[in-house]
Amino acid sequence: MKMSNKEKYQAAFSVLHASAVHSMQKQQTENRPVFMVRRFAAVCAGVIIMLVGGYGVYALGGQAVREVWGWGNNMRYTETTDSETGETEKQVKVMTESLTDPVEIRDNRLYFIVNGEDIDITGLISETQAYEYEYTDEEGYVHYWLVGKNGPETTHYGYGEYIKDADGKWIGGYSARTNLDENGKGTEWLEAGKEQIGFPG
Amino acid sequence: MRINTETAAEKYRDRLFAAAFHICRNAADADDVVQETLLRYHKTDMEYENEEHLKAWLLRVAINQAKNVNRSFFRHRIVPLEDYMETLSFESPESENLFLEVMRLPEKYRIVIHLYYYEEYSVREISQILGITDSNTKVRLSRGRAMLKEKLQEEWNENE
Repeated sequence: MKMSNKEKYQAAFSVLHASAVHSMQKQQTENRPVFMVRRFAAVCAGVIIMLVGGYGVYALGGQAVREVWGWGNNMRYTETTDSETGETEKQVKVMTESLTDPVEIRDNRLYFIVNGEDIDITGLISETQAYEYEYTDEEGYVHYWLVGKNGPETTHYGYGEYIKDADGKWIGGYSARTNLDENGKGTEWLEAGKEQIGFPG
Repeated sequence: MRINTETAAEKYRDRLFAAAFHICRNAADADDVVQETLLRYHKTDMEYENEEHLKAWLLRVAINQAKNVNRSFFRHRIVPLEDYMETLSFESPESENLFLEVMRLPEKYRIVIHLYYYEEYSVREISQILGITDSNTKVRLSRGRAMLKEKLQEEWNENE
C-alpha cells in the first residue's frame, strides 16, 4: 500500500527524541553570550570596509562604547564616544587571518551555511547575480549577506556581510574574495546585490 | 486547564524537540530549547482552553526559542548533521533520505513543512503558531514541497 506524504514524513521524523531528563531546577538565567569574544590580529588586506553612522552604546571608563560582531566573528565594529568631548571614533576590523567562509563546497556544489543554514546556492548565483540572505540577531541588528561568482569555477565565489542597526541605520560591512576597482567598487554581482539591499556604498 | 509540568514534559517533549530540531538542526540546542520551554511553562500561571491550545502554545514558545538560538552567534556543541543522523535508526533508506532533504531546506520552509506534515496543522493554524499570514504560509509550504519533490522525485507524492 502506497504511503501518503504525511505518513512518510512522520515515519522519517519519528526517530527524533528529546533527552529523557529535564530538571526543573535548572536556572533559566543561565548566561549564554550572544557575541563570542575572541582575540584577533587586526588586518585588512584584500578586504574593503565601508561605514556609515550608528548609535546605541554602553559606558566604559568615561567612554561610551558600542561593539557589534559580524557572523563567525569575521568583523568587529567598535564605536567609542568620549563622554566629555563628544568625539566619536569608529573602527571596523575584518579578521582576514581567520575568516570563516559562509560557503562550503561539497560535490562541486556551493552551500550557504550562515546562521545554521545549509542552502544549495549553486544555481542561484552568477557573475551578475548575488544570492541574498538576511537575518536579525538578538540585539536587533539585521545582517545582510551577498554571495556571488567572480568566475566560472565553483571555487570562484565571493561574499559580503552588511549590518544595519535596529533603527535601520547601516553601521558597516565588508566583502571578501572579490576584486575591487580603484574607486572601491566591486564586481557586478556585488554592486547589484548592494543596490538591492540598499547599502549606500 | 493545566496539567503538571512533568506530565507536559512526558507528553510533549519529543514534539518540542522535533520542532526545535527543524530550526536548530542540532540535538544539543534542541534539547536546550525543550528545557527552556518546559521551564517557561512551569513558571507561568496561564490557563489553557484545552490540550490543543496547550500544545500550540508550547510549540510556539519552542519555535521562538529555537529561532533565538539560531540567531545567536554563540552556538555550542554543534555536531555535523550527517554525524548525528548516524546515531538515528531510520526505518528505511527512503526515510533517511527524506530526513536529510528536509534538513537541507531553508529554515523558513523546514518549520512550515514540519508543522503541516508532522503535526498535521492546517495553513491557518500554522500561520497562528508562526505569527505570519496565511498567504505567507501557503507560499512557504508550496515552495518547500516543490523543493522536496525536485530532490526526492518519485519518493515524494505530487499535490499532497
